[in-house]
Amino acid sequence: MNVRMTVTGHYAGAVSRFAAAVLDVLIVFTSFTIGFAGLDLLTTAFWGVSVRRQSTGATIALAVLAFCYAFGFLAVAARTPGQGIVGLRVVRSDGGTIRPGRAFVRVCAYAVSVILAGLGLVLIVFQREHRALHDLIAGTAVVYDWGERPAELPGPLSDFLSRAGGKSPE
Amino acid sequence: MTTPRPVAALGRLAGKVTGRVVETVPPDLILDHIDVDALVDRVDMNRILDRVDLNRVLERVDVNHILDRIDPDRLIDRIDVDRLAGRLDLQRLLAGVDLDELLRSVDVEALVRRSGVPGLVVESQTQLAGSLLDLIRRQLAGLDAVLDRVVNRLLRRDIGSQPAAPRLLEVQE
Repeated sequence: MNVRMTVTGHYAGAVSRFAAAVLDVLIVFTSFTIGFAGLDLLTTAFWGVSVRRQSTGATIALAVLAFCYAFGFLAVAARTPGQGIVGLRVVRSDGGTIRPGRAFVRVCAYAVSVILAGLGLVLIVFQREHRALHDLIAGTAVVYDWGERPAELPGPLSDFLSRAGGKSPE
Repeated sequence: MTTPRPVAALGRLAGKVTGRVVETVPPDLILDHIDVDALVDRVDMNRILDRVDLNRVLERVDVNHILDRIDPDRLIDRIDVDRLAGRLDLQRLLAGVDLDELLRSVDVEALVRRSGVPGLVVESQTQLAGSLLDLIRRQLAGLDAVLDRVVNRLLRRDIGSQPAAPRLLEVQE
């Protein structure tokens, strides 16, 4: 029988973090689209003005929403909804709980990771602790945290890793 | 025409004497001399019953008055329920029950609510959703581990020396 290896508190890898980011992007874009359509409906109905053509304003509003979303959730829960679904948590580089100030720096630095042609994010794959550029700037790391349940690897993989590494699964 | 006269006179005399005797003799004295059992033995009860109109008797009976005088508790105490149940033909009894009609009068919603089934359903659904989420998370974590292993091989890193978790979280394990 395969015993699953527990990875709670371990550095989260690129696949999990990518999945969490995709979910966050989906949530932000969906909520923005719905909100923007509702706002357009209201302004058209009351003042006869459509906000659809305000592309610059819409882009700025989207950026503000994304920032508030990421900073708000990180400051309060140390994880965005996407990270919560995938079972990840943002911690200090030593494993401690992050404060709002550090969350603010991390969200600001995230823009730098993306602007540099995404090179800042590629670090997640190659860096030993799977920390992206914004993690290194803010002094944070992302770990597995499934709440009350232990984070685990699939049974067969746990078996393989324990045999390959000469360790017994936890 | 002359012969009936003495007979009629004797009859009148006997009637008068008998009347006097009956008036003089106390009835209790007579009754003491009567053997009631022997008298009853001579009575043909079936003949009497044939002559009794039971319907008329029952019409005169006040059933409510009789029921008021009955002690139901004592009556029930005297009933042997097991014996009674043993004599019941349940199949025949159930055959006569209209189950559709019976179920129509049952408040199924209240019954289900009282049984605690909704709570169980919610709990099982939550557990199912949690299990499904954990399954997806497990696969993602597995892919992380595989990718990590491939990258370490490509970069010729010593897998055993890789940091698994931040310092504070490693201590907790």
